[in-house]
Amino acid sequence: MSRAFRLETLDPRLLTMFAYTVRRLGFALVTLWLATLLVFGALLLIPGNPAQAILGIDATPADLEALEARLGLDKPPAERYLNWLGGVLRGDLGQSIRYETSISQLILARLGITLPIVVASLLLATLIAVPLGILAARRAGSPVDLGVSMASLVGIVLPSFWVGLMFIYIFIVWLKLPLPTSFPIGGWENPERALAALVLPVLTVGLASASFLVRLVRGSVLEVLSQDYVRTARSKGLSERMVVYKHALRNASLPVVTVLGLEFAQLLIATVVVETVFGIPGLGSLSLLAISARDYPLVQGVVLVIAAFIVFMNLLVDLLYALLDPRVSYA
Amino acid sequence: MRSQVVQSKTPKRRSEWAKLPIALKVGSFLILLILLMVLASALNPTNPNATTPNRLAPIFAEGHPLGTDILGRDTLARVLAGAQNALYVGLIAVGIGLSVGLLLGVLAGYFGGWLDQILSVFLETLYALPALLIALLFAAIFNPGVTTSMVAIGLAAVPAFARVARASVLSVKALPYIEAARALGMGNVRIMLRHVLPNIIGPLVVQASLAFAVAILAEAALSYLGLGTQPPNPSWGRMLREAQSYQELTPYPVIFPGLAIGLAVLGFNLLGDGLRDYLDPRKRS
Repeated sequence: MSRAFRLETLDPRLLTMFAYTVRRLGFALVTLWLATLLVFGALLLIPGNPAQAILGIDATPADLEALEARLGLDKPPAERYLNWLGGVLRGDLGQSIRYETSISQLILARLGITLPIVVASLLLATLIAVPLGILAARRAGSPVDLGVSMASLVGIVLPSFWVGLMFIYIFIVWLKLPLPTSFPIGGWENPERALAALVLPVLTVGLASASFLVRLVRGSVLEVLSQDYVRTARSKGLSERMVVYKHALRNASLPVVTVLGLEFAQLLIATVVVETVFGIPGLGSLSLLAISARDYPLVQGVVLVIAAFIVFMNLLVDLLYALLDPRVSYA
Repeated sequence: MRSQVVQSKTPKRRSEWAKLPIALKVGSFLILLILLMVLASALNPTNPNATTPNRLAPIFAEGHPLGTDILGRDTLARVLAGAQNALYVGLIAVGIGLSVGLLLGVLAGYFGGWLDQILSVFLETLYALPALLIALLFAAIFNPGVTTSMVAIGLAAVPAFARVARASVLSVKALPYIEAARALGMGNVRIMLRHVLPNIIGPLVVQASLAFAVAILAEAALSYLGLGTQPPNPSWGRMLREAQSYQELTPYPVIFPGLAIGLAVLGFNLLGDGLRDYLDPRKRS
């Protein structure tokens, strides 16, 4: 009898957590589904005949008909949507018109360049922002704090692509550092050159992210330092170092981790601009190419993949938050 | 007697001014500066699109205080005209975001229930799509241009406005005077317009100021990518795109538009932050 599964023997916290996870997962799926509707529906808004828009006015009727058949324009929109959705569920985003290859393959190849930039930038941002944020919070109101706040404000208001252009001017034109200004044609086949080409982009994106992050670290450390348990820790004679690193930092890290997760997804799209500055063939330049070539299926694919990343990161962050912080109510 | 009155008045006035958050003061000053740039652009006899033989002039060149670009166009005139463009795009985009967001947020917050649920899911989806992504999608469908980018930036701003409006409506709705209005037999529309709306304006103004900063940055980014303002119209982002190709020849056509973007974004950010502190009763004491 005692071995039988009984609901009431389960930790009630675990149950609510499970229910929350299921609900949050369902919500993420609904969001994703709405995103597919939006991405697909947007293409129905194209004025005129999409095949004509792709081929231009000189297209022969035979070419037009062939492309219409390829895009499935001879079928009703609902059927086209279901076909497309079925493909998306199997990981098949269709064929690119411009490149005549699988869109999933194209996007995967570009992610191989964009993702390393995003991850390295976030790493750099964390390495800069966390120590500076703690320093500023511990000396709140001091000239150090003011300096950090000012620097972060400058980083927030200046557009990252302009900062990138300035970096090119300062490091390459002025200081004549031997850094390439474009990504090598062969991609990662030449790892040294490829890495060198990513130095300035990572510096640009990383500094921009650090500017946001440092404010957040400062704010959350400052808030934690004013809590009762920090006062208790201090009054029982713990060293300031112990108080900050053992008690305050652990609790202040939660919002920081959250924002890092959200920033990750946002950076995927924000790097579009920085990729253009540094001539990097990442996901961003792929989307720009797709737009100028009116490669509608490719645009759909890129937008959907980025939206899916964002929804997934939001989900992950919410679940982590509920898991890590016992005070978060997820009822 | 008289001097006493004057004396007691002056310090009081000064303290009122001193009580304002510093961010509010600096922000207002910067926005005033941007408005002056628009005025200067309107009064400026130099056509920002006129080409001259004096190409790639350095700063402090005769007749061109900030130099010229590769076509000999006056950088100062173009930066000033860019301010006009930035404010125009910002106004329309924030106008779209505010009006649609306010409507959806007030409806969701006031009526609650299933309407709130549906609107929330819809807005969360929109929230998952960054302004730049929506703009990319729009640029693919319609022709890239200033209208397309304004609508995209405005749409992307809707969820934030709706969230602020909904939260404010929820807190106002619970107050006794709304109950009193209902007890007096007022209809929903009248309560919303006369009693709810005036009391949620503060947070919305703050949000509008912050959204303005985002809109200016987004417009610059889109124009830089070639998806926003089209040539020859001067836009800060567009100027950066054009100047990038010859920046090793002269850095000035890159430097000044970027600084102008930073100035405008800083102004609206500080104004929003300052207004939030000013309107927050906990911080005012």
